[in-house]
Amino acid sequence: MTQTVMEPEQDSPPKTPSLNPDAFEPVAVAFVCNWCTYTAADLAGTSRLTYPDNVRLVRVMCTGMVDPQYVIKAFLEGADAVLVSGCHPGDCHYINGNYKARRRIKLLKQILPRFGIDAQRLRLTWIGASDGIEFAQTMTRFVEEIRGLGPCQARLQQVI
Amino acid sequence: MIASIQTKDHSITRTLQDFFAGMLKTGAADAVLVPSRMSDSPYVKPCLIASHDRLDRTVPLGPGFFVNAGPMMSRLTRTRAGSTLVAWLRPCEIRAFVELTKLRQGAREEVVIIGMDCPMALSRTDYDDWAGQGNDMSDDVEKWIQTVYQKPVTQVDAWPVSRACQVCDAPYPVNADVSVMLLGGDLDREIALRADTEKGEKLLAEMDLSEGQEPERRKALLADLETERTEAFQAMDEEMLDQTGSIESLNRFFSACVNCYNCRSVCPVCYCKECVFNTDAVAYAPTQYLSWADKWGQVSLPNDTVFFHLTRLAHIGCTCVGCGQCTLACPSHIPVSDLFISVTRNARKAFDYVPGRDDAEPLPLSVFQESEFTDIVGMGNKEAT
Repeated sequence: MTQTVMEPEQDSPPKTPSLNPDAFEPVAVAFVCNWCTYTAADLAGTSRLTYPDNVRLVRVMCTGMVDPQYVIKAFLEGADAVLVSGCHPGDCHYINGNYKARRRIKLLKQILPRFGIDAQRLRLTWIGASDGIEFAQTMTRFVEEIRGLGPCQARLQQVI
Repeated sequence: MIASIQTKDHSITRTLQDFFAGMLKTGAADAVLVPSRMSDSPYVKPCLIASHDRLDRTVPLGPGFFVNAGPMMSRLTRTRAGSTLVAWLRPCEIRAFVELTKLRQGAREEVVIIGMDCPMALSRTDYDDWAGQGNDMSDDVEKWIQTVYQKPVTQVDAWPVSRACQVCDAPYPVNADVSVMLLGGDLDREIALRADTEKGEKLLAEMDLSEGQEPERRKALLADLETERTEAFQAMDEEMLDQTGSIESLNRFFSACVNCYNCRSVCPVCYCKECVFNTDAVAYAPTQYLSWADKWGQVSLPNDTVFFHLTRLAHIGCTCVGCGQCTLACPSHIPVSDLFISVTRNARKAFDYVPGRDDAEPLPLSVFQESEFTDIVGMGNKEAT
């Protein structure tokens, strides 16, 4: 097996995460439902729309399956914000998963700020399958808003 | 209907034991679930007793509380047994059972629940100390009972009751079939019982008791208790906010946690048969650990400690009954319930939900309304935190 020697990248990011606002590049995790928001993301892509690459999409079958643990884990692993996005009320492929998601997000918004994770770092939106443009706009605005909030404390160190 | 039992030989324990024996003798109950000691051990556990001559080791009222009987009720009522069970439960055990029935983990059709004004509990180490003070535990138990029901107390002799009890906002039976009204009672003379449901009335009628009344001072004492405990809760809440208000301080708070999951095992409302923390979801590849060590410079193991506790907080955010068992069971002496009670009692306000308050009240996360919480949807919200 031949070994490839990789040239070090010119401006490789520092190993230890930084809280320096100038060097801050937000990381966001978005849980998007297969039937609406993910389809919208796909549409945005095929329509050649652009949005910031700070957002990591995680496709789930329904926002109703986003257990609080996924959101918590994302934050503890260093996400600066988490977005849960699904079908508009009444449009859920599974009839009412998005309504249940809304209650779970509400509960998390009651709990997380208590530990210094600002409620604004957790977002819930409804983006329909045909809303490619809205998807790109929402992601752009989402990243802007996180940039404004600055880095989340949890990214600095291992949360045991 | 309010009935009264005459206290025999100045012993409340003896009187209640006879009361249970009476139920078994008359057939009003096929079995009773009462906290009882095993042999000479001072430790009490819920015991299902079917024979009227096996009640002398029961300790219906005392500071020993090492198992929340809510899940035990769930075991006993999972399917129909075709017999009548009478369960003697603390208020937080009733709350737990009510929540479990909503989660379809039990049913109360065949059970008559007797709830009592709570005798509170001691921490495990304090209990050892308390139980070891004399030769005969029964005198200490009587003294305990005589002390805790006369006025709001937070300690008996040298032993402070557990923090969860000090801040408990419902130390009286709610959703019981029979309520035993001990607060402010002349317990040397009589014990007053109130039937709250038809089942309760039937049970008391079968026992052929004399008529009684609620102790005169009880309502005033309950109001005093509420005031004191609201203040105690606020103090604890502030303390917890101070100790866990950031991720960094939360890390410190749980730094002694060894991931034994005792808090989960004893939690009466953590009911999942297969917890996600026992699955492959948290069985990471070795490279993952190395990548974490690389990212943060170090990684302490076992990991996922705060993740576990925060997830549990979210999972039982609406149903935590505040019994304090998690703290009692923690080998690292982390005041787990202080944090859980403080966080959940505030969090569930959003749903105007109180666990155990009403059988008919659905679990907040199992229902929804079409138009609610619309303010949390979309970008640009600046909701107050």
